[in-house]
Amino acid sequence: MPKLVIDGIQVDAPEGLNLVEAAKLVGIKIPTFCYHPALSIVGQCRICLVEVEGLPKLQPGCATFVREGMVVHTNTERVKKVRAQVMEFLLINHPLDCPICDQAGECDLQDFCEEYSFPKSRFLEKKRVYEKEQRRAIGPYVFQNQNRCIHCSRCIRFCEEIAQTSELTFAKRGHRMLVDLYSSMTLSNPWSLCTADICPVGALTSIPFRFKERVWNLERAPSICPHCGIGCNIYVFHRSGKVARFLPRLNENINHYWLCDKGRTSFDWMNEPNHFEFLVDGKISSYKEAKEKFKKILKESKITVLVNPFCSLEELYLLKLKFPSLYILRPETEERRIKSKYVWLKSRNLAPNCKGAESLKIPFYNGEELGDVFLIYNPLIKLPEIKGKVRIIDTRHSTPYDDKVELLIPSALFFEKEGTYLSEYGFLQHTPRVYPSPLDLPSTFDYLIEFFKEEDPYPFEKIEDCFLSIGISGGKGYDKLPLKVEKV
Amino acid sequence: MMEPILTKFVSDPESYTLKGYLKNWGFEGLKKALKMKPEDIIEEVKASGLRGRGGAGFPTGLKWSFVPKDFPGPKYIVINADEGEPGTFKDKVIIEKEPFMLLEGIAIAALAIGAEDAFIYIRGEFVEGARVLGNAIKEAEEEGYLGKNYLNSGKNLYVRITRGAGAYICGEETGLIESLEGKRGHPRLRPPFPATKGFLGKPTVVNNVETLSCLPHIISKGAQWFSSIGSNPKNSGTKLFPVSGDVKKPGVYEAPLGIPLKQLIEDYAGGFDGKPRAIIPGGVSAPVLDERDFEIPMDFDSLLNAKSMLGSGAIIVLNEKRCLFRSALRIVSFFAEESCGQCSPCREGTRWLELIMERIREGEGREGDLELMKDIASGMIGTTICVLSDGCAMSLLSFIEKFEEEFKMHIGEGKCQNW
Repeated sequence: MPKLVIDGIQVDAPEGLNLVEAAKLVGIKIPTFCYHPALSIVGQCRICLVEVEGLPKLQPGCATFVREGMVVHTNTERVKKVRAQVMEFLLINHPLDCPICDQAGECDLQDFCEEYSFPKSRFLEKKRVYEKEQRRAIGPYVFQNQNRCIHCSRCIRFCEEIAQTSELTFAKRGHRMLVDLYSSMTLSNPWSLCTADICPVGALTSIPFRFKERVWNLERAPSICPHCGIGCNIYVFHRSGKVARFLPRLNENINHYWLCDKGRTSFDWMNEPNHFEFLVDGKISSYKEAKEKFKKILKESKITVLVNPFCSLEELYLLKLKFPSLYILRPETEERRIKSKYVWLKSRNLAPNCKGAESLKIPFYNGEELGDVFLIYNPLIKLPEIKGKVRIIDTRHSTPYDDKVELLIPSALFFEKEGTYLSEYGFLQHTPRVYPSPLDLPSTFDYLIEFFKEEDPYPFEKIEDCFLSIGISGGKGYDKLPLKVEKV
Repeated sequence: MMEPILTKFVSDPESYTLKGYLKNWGFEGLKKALKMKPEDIIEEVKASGLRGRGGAGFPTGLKWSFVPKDFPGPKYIVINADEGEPGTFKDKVIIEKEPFMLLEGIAIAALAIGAEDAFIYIRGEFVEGARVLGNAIKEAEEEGYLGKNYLNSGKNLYVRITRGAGAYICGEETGLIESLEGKRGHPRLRPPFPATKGFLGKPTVVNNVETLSCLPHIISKGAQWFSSIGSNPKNSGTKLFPVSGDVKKPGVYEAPLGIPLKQLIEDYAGGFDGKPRAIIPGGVSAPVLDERDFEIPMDFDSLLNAKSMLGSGAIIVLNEKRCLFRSALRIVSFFAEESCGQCSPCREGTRWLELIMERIREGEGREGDLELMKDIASGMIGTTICVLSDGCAMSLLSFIEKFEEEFKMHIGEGKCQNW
């Protein structure tokens, strides 16, 4: 491994690493706009220029690779001056419309402006204004404001190198250069919103998210995307118990820096629950009354459970322990693909835990005669014809059975509870609770524990004990499951 | 006046035909090169002191020696015939009048680096040149001077022409390669240099038309002979100087490197028209000279010492009737128009300078504009992928430094004595 010195600190960096990454190893930040670790290196924004001893010109940190004995300075007066000049070049034609820009608060240009810029603008001329490209939707999910663009070409390279659909290109040249669509194309690849993620400014923003929230009002929590079997790692941005958006969370083995449009825009169901009260024989009741009713129904008859693949491994395992007759509903199917760092991953099941149910050997429901049914419902699953009488239902959303059932339990939704999910590629992923459920509604796991507490309790107290007794993780507890949290 | 070498027969009406070329020159250099080992050709060219005639003045033999000898795949030779530097029109003469000299030079270079494919990237506006060159290639192939097993040498050389589409930046060697590959003409990051990773990712040498046209003479008459011409062995040979502006006889003149600028104008270009005030010595990227430097020897190193450059050798003379602020603005506008747009300092800086100067031209100059322009220009030097931005900044800075009073008059009064 080459040894080099960056700002007086000795760095042992692996061969082939660039100076931006090598500096990161010892906590030194070199600002970048056009550089993205998953895309090719173009070295064109010039904000990462640093001084390398022995070379007369400043070198781009993104395109200069570590060499034995290299001595690098990232913070000399010369570097600071050039950084401020590059910032000035980028800012002169930028509209500075931060108060109405959706990127404000998470904008690299805004952040670096505070850190590296001259205090005052010296630009007295008219700013550049593009004509028809000024403000327009360039695809179903992505909105372009070309005036804000700093021409870093990340979006173009994403479409060429990751999505491999090449919808975008630079058009014209010099100061008139702009990011444009190839004629007769729209930015409609299945990962188009990644371009908005990696846009360092507000030139590309998300149509579903723009103008909905100010990002600083949102809280961020790590989780996984429940909308297919790949289990992409995400950050959930939420406010007052409502999801505002998903952003990808770095996981090289699964979704790398990316997330598909459908996965990240399918969360409306979580924000629109209809049921908040326990209903016993159609009447609003307490948790306690619901518990009594549940026990009564179980005593009266043999109940078959129809569960859905949005349930966590822990929940499926609990149900399996208590209900010998257990089926799982088939999820909707459609192909979803995502590029990990190494390979393409795909899934056809639009639910997070089909593999988990399979590992617990829970059979799919294929229209068997069921008798009395306890249905655990999810609105993303199209209900088949159920041959049997639904007596208990666990749902937060309206179902055809709402008026007919004897007991309705409104349970916590996906982000309102913790749980573990097994992806189709075998990644076991635990997600903590993102935000609390309204009125402290119990999760399926919680109420099952509560309902069986007295007569025939489950042999564990905590959810983690339950997880360990499944025996799927080789004895690893939650803290050993990979939930890597890094800034994207 | 010494006898010209490259342009010796340009007034021969048959010079551009194979018949004319055989009569005048006769492929002596190539025939000799075919009997030499590639390393010996490279050594001979190194010994001749030949430096690139396109602008940068990089030693040609040294450039070739960077090509990996044992590369297991095709290597390419690319001929830069994009001649876009304002004021430059010398390669045009060779292309139209001595196309076979260029082809012979290409063949010698191809032997030196071991290439079988050559691509001539010719400026789109050179319609006539492309036609003449196309015919020359066809004729040479038919007569066995190019193509498969040419001159019964057991070697092959295929020469193709690609026409540019009018972008200045495609004359920059890596921008040219991108364009040749069918992409936008965006100069590439270096390293890797084209010699190791160029056209289609393969080792590639990019040489200028005039550079290659020197090769037949170097090989046939010897490195010793070539290096004895010019001011010294590092600035050897003759150079084609396209002279324009305020001179009595504008045109392309061949003279030994190191000829004093004033003598070149007076002996070759019919003398100055009016009293010269500023001379651009090597295309508009080259910083301007004032009367203190009019006697300067026209070679690579002398001009570098004078903080300018020989560039393409294109001389533009501006006399005392010219408004030099306007000349500088014209140059800045050219670079703003031709910036490819990928690097922030160039994309934004060239245009910003243009906007400030346009405002000054309209009489809206402000105190501090001059300092601002200097500071903007300082951020455009050495901060970008290619040197277009450096060319713009250094040219403007030289005008400001040498003709500051004129700039101040424009900023203060909105005009000068010439405007």
